[in-house]
Amino acid sequence: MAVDQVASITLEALRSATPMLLATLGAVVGQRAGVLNLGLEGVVYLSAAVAAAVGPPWGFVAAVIVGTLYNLLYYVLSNDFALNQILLGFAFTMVGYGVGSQVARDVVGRPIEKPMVYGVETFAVAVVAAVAVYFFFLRSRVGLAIKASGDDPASLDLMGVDVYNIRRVAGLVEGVFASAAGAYLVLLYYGSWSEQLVMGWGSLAVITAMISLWSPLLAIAASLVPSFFISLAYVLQRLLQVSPHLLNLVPYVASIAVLATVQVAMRKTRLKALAPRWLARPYIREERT
Amino acid sequence: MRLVQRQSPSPLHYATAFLGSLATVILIVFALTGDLAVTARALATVDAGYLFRVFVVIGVVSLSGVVSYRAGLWNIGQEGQAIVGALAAISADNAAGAVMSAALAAAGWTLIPVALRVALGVNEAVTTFLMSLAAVSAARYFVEGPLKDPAKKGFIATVEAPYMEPVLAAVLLAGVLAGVVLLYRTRVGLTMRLLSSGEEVVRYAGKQPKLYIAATLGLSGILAGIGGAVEIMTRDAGRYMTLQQVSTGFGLYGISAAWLGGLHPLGATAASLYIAWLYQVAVNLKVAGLPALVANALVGTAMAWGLAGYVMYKYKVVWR
Repeated sequence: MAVDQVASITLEALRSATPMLLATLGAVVGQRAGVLNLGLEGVVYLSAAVAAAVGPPWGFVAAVIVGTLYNLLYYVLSNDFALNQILLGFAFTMVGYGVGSQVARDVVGRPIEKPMVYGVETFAVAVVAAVAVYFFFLRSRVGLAIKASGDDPASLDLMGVDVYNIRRVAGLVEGVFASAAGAYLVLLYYGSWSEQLVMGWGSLAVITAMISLWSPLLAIAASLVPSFFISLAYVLQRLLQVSPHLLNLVPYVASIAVLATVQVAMRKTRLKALAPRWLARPYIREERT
Repeated sequence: MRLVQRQSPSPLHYATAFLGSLATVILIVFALTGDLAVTARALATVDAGYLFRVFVVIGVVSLSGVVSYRAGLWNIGQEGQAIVGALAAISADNAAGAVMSAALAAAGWTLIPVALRVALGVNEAVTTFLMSLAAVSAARYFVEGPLKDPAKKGFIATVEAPYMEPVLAAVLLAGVLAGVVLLYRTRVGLTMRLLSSGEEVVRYAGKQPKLYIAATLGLSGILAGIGGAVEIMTRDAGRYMTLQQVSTGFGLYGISAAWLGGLHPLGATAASLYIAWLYQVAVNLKVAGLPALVANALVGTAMAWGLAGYVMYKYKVVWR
């Protein structure tokens, strides 16, 4: 492969890595708090739809507000009301698809004027956000409490911290990141809206959060995994005579393969201590032991 | 607000969940149409034959959900498994062969998350979910490539799947239902349900948890695949797949019915009728000019109510 093709894949990957990193950071915060939010897909989708419907520049603000509120609703239902996290997330994704396609049905295919973005500068901003999340976990009391809520919520409760409140904070942060990713996808990356366009990004982010071992700094590298394969598929399409639908499978298959590899490495080493122990388990106060 | 565990579980609260879902649906439809008469028409217009067909399909897929969730395993890839089943049905010659090949194909498709879970401990919820999205792309490849009908000029679609009488499909549903009910009365079925208490419990019972995890997830995938095959074969017309119409949404509908039915095979089958009606309402709305994915929104809220039903079944909500 020629040098310019490698460069073009890298540039493409960086462009698509920004929303992936943003959504992954959201997923990292949420999963660190002990919530396996598969509704992230729905949050990204809905916020993208809102951004498309409102249009720039206010679409960005509207998307973040709507997406964050939607994510918070998920957190209240799945934590305060202890609805099954995984299945509720699935339902939220489906409702997100339904409501999103309704919200943005008038702007399907209509081009959105997008500012010239190379991808490198937005990725730099996202990297700064990742470092900020890293220090948030390392230095702040709230960050520490979020980590504790995912590892041992009962002890956190005994310390006098309201676990549900902490998880709501995590949901807020996650919602802001995920909906920013959704808005970015429509307003800066694709520059248009169709029902199929932004499907899959949120779910890939859930996986990249796991690949990054729930570390915001590793998330910077991990977010490049699906982005690289998405871009690779994009570039290969121009070079090879392979069905584009088969190439669309590449990011999913590759992400699952990388996740499996990471999990094997985790099980064999001390890295397994990094996994939030209460991931996907509801915390019910009356049942603490 | 607190959740206090009940002395004994209260199945009656699934009725509360059902009523809550019904109220939510009426509110949503009214909000979307903004007109009482249109709302009433959307809710009341029912095509009995169509409803029956949809009910049978949802019934089969809901049993896939029951099998998985009763074991505490989170297969949420029914949609993808159904797509694979439908593809297998398209490539078959007759209805019986289609059901068989759908079961085989779906089992093969489910083998990937099963192997990852059993051998490497990768969370099956994440992998099955992602594989649903992957199935859409894989199916589009088959629509354009190996299964494309060269006789259809002007538009890209697969060859037609064999026809299956809805009555025959209902018999199939009854058979599957009886099979699951009977399975739960055997030691194997008991051990499958025991998985929800933890792998250790199964190990202490002298069984191999990994074997039962694989069997349960595999069975769940097979049932979803059969559901997908039944869906495409019972259509009156257009028993083919196009690039746009790959995903039918029946995975979600089946899962919702499973939860609204209290994860009981009979309850799930009963709830399937309600979900089928919701689908009919969504179709009515589509005729009135709303997007097709509105069905997902309606059924998604029903599913959230089903999950709430499970919480209310186990816990008392104390508001102070």
